[in-house]
Amino acid sequence: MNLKLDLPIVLLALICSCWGCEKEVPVHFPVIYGHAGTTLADERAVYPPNSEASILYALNALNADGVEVDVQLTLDSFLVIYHDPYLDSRTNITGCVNSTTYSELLTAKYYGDLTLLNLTRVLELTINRGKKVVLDIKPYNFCTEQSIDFEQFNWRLNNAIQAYSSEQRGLITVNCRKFELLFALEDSSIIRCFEGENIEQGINYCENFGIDKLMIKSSIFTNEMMQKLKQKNIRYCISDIKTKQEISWAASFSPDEVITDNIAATRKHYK
Amino acid sequence: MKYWFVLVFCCTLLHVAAQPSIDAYANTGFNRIGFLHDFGGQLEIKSHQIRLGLRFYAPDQVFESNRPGLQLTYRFQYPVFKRCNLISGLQISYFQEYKGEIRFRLIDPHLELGGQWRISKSIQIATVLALGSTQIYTNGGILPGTEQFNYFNYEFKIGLTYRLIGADL
Repeated sequence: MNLKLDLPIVLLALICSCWGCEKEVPVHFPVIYGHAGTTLADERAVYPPNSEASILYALNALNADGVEVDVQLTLDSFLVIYHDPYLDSRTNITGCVNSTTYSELLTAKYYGDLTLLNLTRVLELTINRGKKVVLDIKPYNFCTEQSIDFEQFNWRLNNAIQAYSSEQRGLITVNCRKFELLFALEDSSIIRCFEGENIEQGINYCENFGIDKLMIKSSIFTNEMMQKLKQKNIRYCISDIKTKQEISWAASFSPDEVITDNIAATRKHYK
Repeated sequence: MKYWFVLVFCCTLLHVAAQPSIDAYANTGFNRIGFLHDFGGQLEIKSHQIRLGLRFYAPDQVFESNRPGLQLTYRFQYPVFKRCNLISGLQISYFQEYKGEIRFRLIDPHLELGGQWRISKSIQIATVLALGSTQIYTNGGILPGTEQFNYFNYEFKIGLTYRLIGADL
């Protein structure tokens, strides 16, 4: 027996057989949403957050399953897409969305030369094309230090979605930190998502008050939370994911959905 | 047969008139797409440089895989000091990737400006700043036809050039 010749062959065969027997780990593919379109982080954004270009780029170029957008109610009960509590952080006017009329907001310059999107346009870009959308509702007016009118919100949302079929409305998730707003929603096709840090409270809302899923930030998510949610068979979405480490960290909790600021890296992770 | 004569004649003429040289190059840097690495070959005739190579982007904000893209560069160098040249040029790269059912194509033409320093008889280092646009074309998404996305891009890179054939630097 020629050892010099046989040893490498045996080693090669061993390596190949090890690859062949590698245990296949089942991969859990979550629904991937782009944060505020593609990303909310200015240092990563190529288009302004919550803009039409950012939404189209996420859906049609990066192939996200859906987008998350931030929704606020104007003084005259229109629904517009804006993230921050105050307008002067990203526009050329001051005040809060909730204290400003829609016609005044149309004159505001968002990121230099854009105008603020309204909800009707976002629904045309997303559910009208079979893509999912998370509407992150900002329920608090920082200028008056009061909650918005939930009934007005519900009325305006119903107006915006009435043209769509129940199947299309099923692509909409309404996410809010105020349980009362979710409770006020009339349309049963819409998915209700409660965002909060108290997991016991969230589980209670899901089990007893018709909430469909929970939204939890990646920074506070724990293994204990995951075990509780899996035991109760409650769907959950993990948000605030930017870096590759955060993508891996969130993936270790097998979420049903993720809201990410890095769509391509998140898709790559689950490939 | 006559084409061979023409080719040999042209090569001889180039060799006699301009003494072309062939180099290998490698760059590393970043732009709005992410971290990048370039590798390829360079033909230098007098002050003109033509580069053909591959560019790799680290999978991050845009790309899901590190499949290389093709890159073509033209540069002109102006002597400033004995060992230092100012360089300006044009560069274009082409990438393609499938993101699920979406065919994603990216083209990024850039204008380059930088400096090049000779550190030995066969090695040069360079730092380059580039400005340009990134153009993305997608097919197969939720809309029929081709969709286009454009945005401004900037790039900073450092590079190394090694002389393979030709006179010393």
